[in-house]
Amino acid sequence: MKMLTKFESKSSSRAKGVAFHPTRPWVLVSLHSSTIQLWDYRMGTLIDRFEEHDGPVRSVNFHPTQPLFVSGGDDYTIKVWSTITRKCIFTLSGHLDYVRTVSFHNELPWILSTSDDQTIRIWNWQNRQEIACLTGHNHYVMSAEFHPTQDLIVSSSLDQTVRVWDISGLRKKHSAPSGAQAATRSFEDQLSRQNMPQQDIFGNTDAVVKFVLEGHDRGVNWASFHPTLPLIVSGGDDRVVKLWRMSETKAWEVDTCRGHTNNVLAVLFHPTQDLIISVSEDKTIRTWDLNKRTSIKQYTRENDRFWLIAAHPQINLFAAAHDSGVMVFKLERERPPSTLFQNQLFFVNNERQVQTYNFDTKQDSLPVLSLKKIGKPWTMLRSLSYNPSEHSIIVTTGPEDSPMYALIQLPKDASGAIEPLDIRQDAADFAIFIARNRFVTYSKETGMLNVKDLNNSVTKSIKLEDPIKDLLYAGPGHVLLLKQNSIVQFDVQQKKVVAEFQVSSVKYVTWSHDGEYLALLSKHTITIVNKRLELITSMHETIRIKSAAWDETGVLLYSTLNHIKYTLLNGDNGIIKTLPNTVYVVKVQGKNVFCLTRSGKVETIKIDPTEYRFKKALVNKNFNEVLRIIKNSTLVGQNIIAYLQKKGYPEIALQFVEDPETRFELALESGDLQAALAEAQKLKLPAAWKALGEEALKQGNTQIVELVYQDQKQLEKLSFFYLINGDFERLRKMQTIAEHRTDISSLIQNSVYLNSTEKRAAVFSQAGNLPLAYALAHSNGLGEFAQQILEAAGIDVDEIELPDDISEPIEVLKPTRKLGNWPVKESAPSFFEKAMLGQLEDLQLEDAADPFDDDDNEANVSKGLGEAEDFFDDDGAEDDMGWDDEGLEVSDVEEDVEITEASLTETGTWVKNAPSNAAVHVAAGQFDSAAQLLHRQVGIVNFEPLRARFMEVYQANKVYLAGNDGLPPVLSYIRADPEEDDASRLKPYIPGYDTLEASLQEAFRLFRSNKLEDAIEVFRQVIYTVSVLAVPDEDAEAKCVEALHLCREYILGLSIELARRSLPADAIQRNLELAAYFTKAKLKPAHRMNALQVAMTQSFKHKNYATASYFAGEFLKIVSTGSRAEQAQKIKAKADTIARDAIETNFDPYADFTICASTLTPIYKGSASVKESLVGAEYQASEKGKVCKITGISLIGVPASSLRLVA
Amino acid sequence: MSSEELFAIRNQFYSSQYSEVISNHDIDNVTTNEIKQYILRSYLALGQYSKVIELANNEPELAGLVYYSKYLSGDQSIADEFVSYAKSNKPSLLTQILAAIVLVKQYQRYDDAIELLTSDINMENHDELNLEVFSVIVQIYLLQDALPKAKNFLKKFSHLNINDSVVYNYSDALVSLVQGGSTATQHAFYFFEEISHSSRSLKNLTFMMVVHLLLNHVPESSEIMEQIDELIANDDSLKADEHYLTYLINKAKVLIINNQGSEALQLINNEILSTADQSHPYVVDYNDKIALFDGVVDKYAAQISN
Repeated sequence: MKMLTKFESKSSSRAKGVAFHPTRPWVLVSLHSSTIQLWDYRMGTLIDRFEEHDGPVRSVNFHPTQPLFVSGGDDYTIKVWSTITRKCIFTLSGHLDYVRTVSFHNELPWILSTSDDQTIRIWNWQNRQEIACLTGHNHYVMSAEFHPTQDLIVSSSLDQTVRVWDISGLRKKHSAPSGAQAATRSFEDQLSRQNMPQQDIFGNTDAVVKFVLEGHDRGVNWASFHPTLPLIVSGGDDRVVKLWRMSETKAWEVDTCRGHTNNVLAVLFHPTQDLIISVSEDKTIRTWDLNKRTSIKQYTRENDRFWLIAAHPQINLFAAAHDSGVMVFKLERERPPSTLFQNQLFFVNNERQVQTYNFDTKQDSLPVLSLKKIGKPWTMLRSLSYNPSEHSIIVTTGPEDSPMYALIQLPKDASGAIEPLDIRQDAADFAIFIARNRFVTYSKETGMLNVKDLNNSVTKSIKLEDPIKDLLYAGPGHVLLLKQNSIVQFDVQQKKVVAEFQVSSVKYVTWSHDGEYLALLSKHTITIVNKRLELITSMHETIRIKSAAWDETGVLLYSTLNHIKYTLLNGDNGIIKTLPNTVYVVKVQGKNVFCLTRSGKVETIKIDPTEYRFKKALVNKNFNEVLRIIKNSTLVGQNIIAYLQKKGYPEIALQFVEDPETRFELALESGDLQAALAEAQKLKLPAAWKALGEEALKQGNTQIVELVYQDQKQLEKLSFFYLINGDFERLRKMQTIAEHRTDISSLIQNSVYLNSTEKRAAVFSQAGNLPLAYALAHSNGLGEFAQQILEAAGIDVDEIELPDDISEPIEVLKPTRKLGNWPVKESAPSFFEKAMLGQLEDLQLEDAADPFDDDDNEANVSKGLGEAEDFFDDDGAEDDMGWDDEGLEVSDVEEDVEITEASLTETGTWVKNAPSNAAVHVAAGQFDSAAQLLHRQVGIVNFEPLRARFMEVYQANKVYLAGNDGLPPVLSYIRADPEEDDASRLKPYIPGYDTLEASLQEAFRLFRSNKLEDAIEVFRQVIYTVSVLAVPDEDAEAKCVEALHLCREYILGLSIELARRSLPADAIQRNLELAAYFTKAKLKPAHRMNALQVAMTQSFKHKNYATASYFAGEFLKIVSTGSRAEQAQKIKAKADTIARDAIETNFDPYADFTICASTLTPIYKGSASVKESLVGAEYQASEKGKVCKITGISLIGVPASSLRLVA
Repeated sequence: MSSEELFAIRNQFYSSQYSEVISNHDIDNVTTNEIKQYILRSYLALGQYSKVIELANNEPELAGLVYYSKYLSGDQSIADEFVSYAKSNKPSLLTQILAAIVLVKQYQRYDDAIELLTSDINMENHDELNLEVFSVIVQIYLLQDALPKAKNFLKKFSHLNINDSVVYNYSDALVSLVQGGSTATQHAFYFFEEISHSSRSLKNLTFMMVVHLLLNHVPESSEIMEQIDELIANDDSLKADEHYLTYLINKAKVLIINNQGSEALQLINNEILSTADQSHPYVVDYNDKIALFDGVVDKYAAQISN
C-alpha cells in the first residue's frame, strides 16, 4: 500500500482539527494558535482565514449539505460560520471548559460537542439552543460522533471508557411533527414545547447511555463508528487501537491492535475498504487490516506528532493534522493498470481481475484472469504490459513493498476469472515487454536493467548509472527511461542511448497513433516531443494532469482532475468537457472518449470534437475541412471568432457572425469590401462609411468609394473623384447640383474641374465680382460674354488694364483612360477564399446537376429497377442451374482426378472449393477451364478484352517472399479470408468487388460531363470485372448482377445517343426515333432527365408537338422546379396547343417495347427476340449468333447457364 | 569488442542492411575472416561482383566466394566447376551454401543441393552460419512446394536456444507466411513489425508490405509501398539491391489489388519483364500465363462472327 500525498499545508502552529468539504476541494484546518484556515487542496492555495476564537481551536466540521461550518475551542465556545459570507453567524455558549470536538448531524439541525467539562451537548443550530446535555463521563470527553444512520452517539473520554448513547428519544421530541398533527397543534402546545426544559431534572431521558465499553487502560482519545457494520474503533493513551462490536443489546471488545509507541489520538474506519487508520503522537499513521487486526503499513513523519485524521465523505482522500500543518493524502493509486492493443483495452478491475474492453463493440469481456494471488495483499497492481504474440501479460506491483512482477499466460477466451496456471515472477520495480519474446525488468535496488526471455531467464544485463522512476515501452527493442530530470530513449539491444530530453518528473507517456509524437505528462505540465525526443510544444496546467490519449488525427486529449481538454501540436488548447469524477482517458475514437474510472470500469464519454478539429484544420491550412465543418456543424461561440481573428482568418470568422457590427469589422479586416458594404448599408453609421471609404480607397475599389462619397454627401471629394476618373458627365451633374444648392464654392470648384470658364465667369459676375468675371471671360476668348460684363459694369474696354502676360487658356488635363477598380489587394485572395470558391463551385455543381444522386435515392432507384427483372431472371436461372449442374458434374469428375493428383497444392484446393467459379480458376492459373466455364455460363467467345482482367486476377493473390540471398523467392498466396486456418477450405483473394461502386460513379461522372464513349468504356470494364469475380455470398452476387444490368442499360442508352449524334443532318425521322429510344433506357432519374430533355427539344424543334408534350410531361414527373423544369413547362404548354406531330416516327410512347442493342429498333412485347446471357441484353431474332454489342465478348442467343459468382 | 562487432554485422547482414555493413566496417581492418565474408557478401547483394572478385581473389579461404561472384556476374559455365570444387573439398560451410544456391539456380537440382548441405552439418550447433545452412534448406523445401518438410525441418532445430537468431526468425516467419492462417500469419507479422522497426531495409519493408497484403490490409500495404518508393527515390543504390526485383513484383500486386491496374501493367512491362533475369520464376510464370491466354483467345476466336 502506498501513501500518495496530494497536499501539504505549512503552519507555524500545531494543526488540531481538520475537516473536508463534502463537495468542493476544500479543507478546514484549525490551529492551536486560534486561527482557522480554509485551503483549496487541489490548487494548494489558502482561501481564507478566520480569527474569531480566543485560544486554540480544537475542532472544525463542515455541514454535509448546508453552507455552514462549526468550530469549537479553548474559549469554551462553539461558533457557526457561513461559507458564503465567510463570517461567523453566531456563537453557542454553555460549555464550562475547553471544547474538544464539534460536528454536525447528517440530517437533523444538530451540532454535537464534547468538552473538558465532562459533558456532551447537542445544539439546534436553527434556533441556536442547546437541546441536550449528556452527562455520565467522569473525565474530559475527548470525542463524540453521531452514527451515520442510526440514533446513536459514540464518545470517548479520559475516564478510560467509550460510551454509546441512544438518542432516539431526543429525535422524537425534536423532530418536526408530521402534517396532520401540525395542523391541529394548538398555540398552547407550541408554547409549552418552547418552555419545556431541555432535560428533565433527573438527567437524560432524551439521551441514555446504551453501552459503556471498558477495556482501555488509559484515557481514550477517540472513538468512531463503522459506516455500515455494527463496529466501533477506539484509540487511547494506552497506545492501542481497540475494535468493538455491538448488537442490539450488548457490546464487547473484539480485538486490540498494538504497535503505536505513543498515545493514539485518533482512529477511524476506511469508508470503503476493510481498513482501520490511526494516528498517534509517535509521529506515525498506521493502517490495520480490519479482518485480521494486523498492521499493514506505517507512515512516519520525522518531526510531527499527529493529532487527528479525517476521511473525505465521498472521495478516497484522508487528511491528517500534525504539528506543523495538515497533509491530504490517499492510500493507493486509484488508476487501474491498463494497456491498449489494437481495438482492445486490457485492464485490471477493482476485483483484481484482468478484463478486456472492445472499443468497436463498446463492451467489456467477462473477467479473464484473477490476479488475487499476485503480490502481497493490500498492494495495488501498478502496471500491465501485454504481449499480443504470446497472448500473455506482465503485471507489476510497483516500487513499494518488496516490488515484484509476474508474467502470466492469458487464457484464450474470457470465461470468468480463472486462476493463473503458470506464473513466472521475480522481484523488480518495473517490467514491460519489448518484443515478442523479450521483456525487460528494472530493479531500483541493483540498478540493473535485465532483458529476459519468456522462460524468465536473463539474456542480458545492463547497469544503469542513474536511478529511474519508471520504465516504458518505446517500440520494439526500445524503452523509455523516466528519470528525475530527463527521459531517455534507450536501445536495449545495442545498449545505447538513442535520444534524451531534459524534462522533470514525467509520470506518464502517451504515443500518438502514427508513432511520430509522444506526450509527456508530469503533475502540471504536458510536453509534446517528436519521436526523436525533440520539443514540439509544452504547456502548463494549474490543475493536476491525470491522463492523455491522442485521437486519430493527432490531437492530444487529456484529462485533469475535473476536465477533459485538448491541445494541438502548436500549443493551442481548450476545454472539451467538465468531469464530475476524475477519469483516466485511454483512447479517443471520433466522438467517443474511452476512460477508465476509479471504480475499475470503462466509461464512454461523448464529446464534440468540432472545435479542435476545426482549429486543427485551420492550423494545417486544410481549408476544405474547415469549410466542411462550417457547413455541417453548428459552431461556435465568441471563442471561435476570437480565435479566428487572432490567427489571422477574419474571412472565416465572417462565416459565423450574424451581428452586423462584428461582421462589418471582420469584413474590413479580411478586405472583403462587398461584405463590408452590405453591413455598412445595414448599420447606417457615418463612422462605418468612413472606414469603408478609406479601405475602399486603399484597395482602389472606385465603385465603393463613389458609393460611400455619395451616401455620405461628401460632394467635394466626389467631384474630385469624378475628375480623376475622367467622368465629366457626372462632374457636370455635380456642377448642376451645386448650382441648385447655390453652393458657390462647390460650383466654382466643379467649374474649374470642368474648365467651364463661361459658367465660372457667370458665377463671378453674379456674385458681383465683375473684374474677375471679365478677366476670365476675356482671357478665355469669350468675347461676347466679356462684352456683356462690360456693359453691366458700365465701363469701356479701354478703361481696363489687364496684365500683359495672359497666356493661352488652360486646358484641364483629362485622364487617358477611365479608372477601373484598382487591382491591388484583389490579386491575393486568402487560401481560404480560394478553397471556399473552389469548393463552393464543386458543391454547387454536384448538388445542382445531380439532385437525385443521393445514396438513398440511388439505392431505391436501382432496387426498383432490379426487383422486377431480378425475380424473373432468378427463376429462370435457378432452373437452368439445376440442369447445368448435372451436366457440369460429368465434366467435374474428370477435373476431380486432376485435383486429387495435386491435392497438396494450394491452388488445387481453391479450384476444388469453387469448381464453377471462373475467377477462382483464373486465380489458380487454370485459364483453360476458366474460359470453358465462362463460355458455358454466359457464352463468352471473344476473350481478348478480358486479358487484362485475367492477368489481374491471376496475379492479385500471389506474392513472392524473399529468403536467403541468392535463392529464388518463395511463392505465397493471398487468401480471401486470412483468418481461415483449415487448409482444406482455402479460397483465393479476388480483387474487384470493392471497386464496382467507384467505377460506376466514375462512369456516371463521365456521362454527366458528356464523355459518352469514355463512359461506355468504363461501364464495359465493370462488366469485365464482374465476369471474372468471386464474391462471398448471394447478396453480393445480387449486387453484381444489378451492376451488370445497370451497365447494360447505360451502354444501350449511350450507344443510341451516339448513333443519333452521328446521323446526317437530314435524317430527321431517325434522329427523332433514336432520341425517343434513348428515353427507354432505364437510367437513373437524374440521368434520364438528360435523355428526356434531348427527346423533348428535338421533337419540339422538328414540330412533333404531341411527342414533345409527352416527353415534357415525363420530364416534369422527375423534376418540377428549376430552370430546366420551367423550360419543360413552356414547351409542354406550347406543344399542347398544337398537339400533333409533323413527322411520323416509329415510336409509340404508350406501347410496351424494348430496344435491340444491335439494330437500335424496337422489339415489341410478344414479338420474337433473342437474349444475351451475361448482361441479359435483348436483340432482334436476326442477331442470333453474333457478338453482343453491349458486352463485346459474349454471343447472342446461345445456350447458357448463368454466371456463377459465389465462391 | 569482436563479439559485439560480429553480433552487429550479422544482424545487419541478415536483415539486409547491406550498405550499413559496408559503410560501418572497414574491409581492410577486419579482425576475423567471418566479418570479411559478410562485407563481401554485402557487396554481392548490391550487385558489385567484380569488386568482390578483386578483393577476394588472392585468398584461398575465400575461393568459394570468388567462384560464386563469377557465376553471378554471368559466367554460367563456371557452375559445374564450382559445384565439384565444393563437393570434393568441402572447404567451408559458406562455400557449401553458395554451391547449393548455384545447384538450385542453375539446374533446379533441389535434392542435390540439400544433400550437399546436409552431408556434414551439425544439428546441435547454433552458430549463425550453421543456422544459415538450415535456413537455406528450409527455403529449398519451400521452393519445392514441400511445406510439411520445411516445417519438420524447422522443428528439428527449435530445441536449440536460438530465439534471438535473426536467421532462424526469418526462416520461421517464411514458413509461417507460406502456411498462412490466422495464427501463423500474425506470428510472422509481429516478427516483421519488430525487425522492420529497427532495420528499415528494403527486404524488411517489402516483407511488411507483403504481410499486410496477406492479411488483406490493403491500405497499410500501399502506405508502406509509398514509404519504400520514397526510400528508393532518396537512395539510388537500392535499385541494385538483392531484393529490389522482389519488391517490384510485389509492388505490382499491391497496385493491382488497389485498383491501379494500368500502373501495375506499366510496372510489369517496363521494369520487371524487360530488366529481370528471364529465368526468374515470376517472369517465367508470367510469360507462361500470357501464352496460355493467347491459346484461350485462339480457341474461341472461330466462334466470333459479326
